[in-house]
Amino acid sequence: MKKIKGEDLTALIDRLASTRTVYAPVLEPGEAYYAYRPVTAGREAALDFGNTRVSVKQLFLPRSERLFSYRTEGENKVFDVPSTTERRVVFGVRPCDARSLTMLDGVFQNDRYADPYYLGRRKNTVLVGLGCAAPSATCFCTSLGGGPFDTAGLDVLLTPVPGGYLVETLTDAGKALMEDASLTDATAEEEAQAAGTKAEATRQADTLPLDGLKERLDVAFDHPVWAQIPEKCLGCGVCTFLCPTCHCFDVCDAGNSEAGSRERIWDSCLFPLYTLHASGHNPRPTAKERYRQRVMHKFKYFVDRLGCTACVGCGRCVVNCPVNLDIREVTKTIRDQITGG
Amino acid sequence: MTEVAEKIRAKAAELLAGGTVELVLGYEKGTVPLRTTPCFVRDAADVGRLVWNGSCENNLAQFLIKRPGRAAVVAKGCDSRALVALMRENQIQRDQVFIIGVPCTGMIDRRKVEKILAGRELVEAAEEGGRLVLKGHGFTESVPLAEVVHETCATCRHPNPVVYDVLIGEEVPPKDAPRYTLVERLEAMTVAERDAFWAREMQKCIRCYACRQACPMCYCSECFVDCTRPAWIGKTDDPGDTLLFHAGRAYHLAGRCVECGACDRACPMGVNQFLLLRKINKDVEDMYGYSAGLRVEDTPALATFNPDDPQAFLTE
Amino acid sequence: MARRKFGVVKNLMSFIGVEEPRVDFAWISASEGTRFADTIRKVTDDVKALGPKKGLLAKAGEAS
Repeated sequence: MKKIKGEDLTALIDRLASTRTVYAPVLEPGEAYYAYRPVTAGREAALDFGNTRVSVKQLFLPRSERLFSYRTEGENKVFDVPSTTERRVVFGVRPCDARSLTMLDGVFQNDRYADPYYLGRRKNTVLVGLGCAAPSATCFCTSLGGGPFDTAGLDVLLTPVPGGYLVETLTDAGKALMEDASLTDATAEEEAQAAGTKAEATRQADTLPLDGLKERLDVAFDHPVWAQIPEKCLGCGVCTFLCPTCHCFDVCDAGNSEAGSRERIWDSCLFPLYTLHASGHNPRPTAKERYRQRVMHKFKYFVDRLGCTACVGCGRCVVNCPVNLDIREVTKTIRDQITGG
Repeated sequence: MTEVAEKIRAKAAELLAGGTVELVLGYEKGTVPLRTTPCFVRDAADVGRLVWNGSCENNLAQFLIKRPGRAAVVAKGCDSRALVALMRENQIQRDQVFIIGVPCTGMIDRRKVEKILAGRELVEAAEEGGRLVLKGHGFTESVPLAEVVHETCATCRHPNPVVYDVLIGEEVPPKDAPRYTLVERLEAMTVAERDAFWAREMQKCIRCYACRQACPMCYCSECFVDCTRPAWIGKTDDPGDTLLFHAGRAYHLAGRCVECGACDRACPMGVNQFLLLRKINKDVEDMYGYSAGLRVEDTPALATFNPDDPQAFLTE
Repeated sequence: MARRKFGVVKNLMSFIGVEEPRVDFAWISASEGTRFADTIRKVTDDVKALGPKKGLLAKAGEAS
């Protein structure tokens, strides 16, 4: 396996920044959390971070994005569609976030529809992953079929070792990116140490037993336990917005006959007005119906339709929920209180 | 703290067993360090779940809005003011709520602790002898609790519940620390400096509405931001629209905000929109001599007038 | 009560960066024609002197 020294990675980022937009985790000024921001120099990248507050999905499905705008010129309407051809590299993508993108790919491209905005960004972005040597107590990626050194969705995976990183190039785009880098051969010792770190971290992130969950959800729609599970849910969008796999969006228009725009913005199935019909009827009127839908979507409907659980075990919802409504407790309650089908 | 918890549990058991209430709303241990979570107890056998400590930050008053039947609620000073304000607005009936009042020495601000940790993971936290002990992989440190309580707790003038059916614990002296330091700093800034301050704050906001949903006084079935005809403000995360959302929300809370800080604690991005509420409360107090939620009989400041009200704002 | 609301709103607008002269309130009866015209003239001059609002709220109120 190849290795890159820390200072050579910094130099690589410096060079790349001159030809493409390079994103890396950066400490938000005045705050104690990280966000992916464009960097112009390698030393700005805080690769010793845990994970970003908002997941990497923000770079592919932004919180708000303009779909198009229009203006009037004489007799004609002139449309302006933002481009997604910007060449980008993202350094420091955690395997959980990268894995979530492979799920979003299934949502935004299928036999009926290909979303040009999301797909344009995906096509023009190279993802350099960073494995997690020390998963948090709130991480459970292994339990969901991923892992702290999982390669799904990545072009390159870096594994931290003393003085630098082991480098695995996983795709052609990844190979092309690392061509320019000063790589050396890793020693047998380094490889063995990395393998040990990976095995231990993978074990540590396997904290959530999920066997039998899907089977129970298949028959659990009307179970009374749903009335109690989400009683404390506030109906905000924190879990859905920070979640790497959540992708619901709303479209809002602004303007008049002269000029205007259409924007896509994040939406949340937990917002009270999410399913409000024009008639005034709301089929999900309380937290019970809405939270049940969230759990069902992630752990049952997505499995039924796209073959995988729409959760990557990143733990952001657990850490950031204002009322500490913990999805791990929820799955445990379901497994304990509902008998399977 | 554990003595108070024991008494809360005993009271809860008594109320449930005796049929006085069908539900006791309190706090139970959270699933991560420095958290508790709202706890809904319906069976006297479950009261052991109830706890009391410096992480009981959520304002439980909002779970009682338009709730049928009788419920008991554990209420700190700020929570009790929210209950009073909600009763004044007919969202809660006094005879439907049994208030277990608990004087409060202040709740920990998780964001302050996060900054102290600077990226290190917290494995265990404990309150010992007026200090908060923080333990993680390879470190143990402690800080005075007074340094990590939320800014609203550090300046709290109403730590003791203003209304209650039973009071558990010793009354706490109110703080007389200056409450409006940052407000005054902003008032002294030039327009350009103020603009830059708000631009920096608002670009952090992701419009998740956690602030609004956590606030017991924000209970409108259609919030002004959700209205599309007309669309009063944009729904994107454009910082200008976002500032108008927070300013609009603050304005709708004029004379109603009890400064519990639930909004600030709920925010995942550290947006200082709480400062707008401080400003609103300062003005309502200065101009109309009113603070929300102190007495059910009080008429809210913006629901009445006085012939001598100041009118310095008039154009001529 | 409107007077109380105006008091709060004017201070809040200033606090978020909307300069004082842009937010104006005056009570003028329908029969005070001259006073109305003078007030409008003064406000218009004040706002013109400030120019278009720059910065965070520059786009507020625009169609798109």
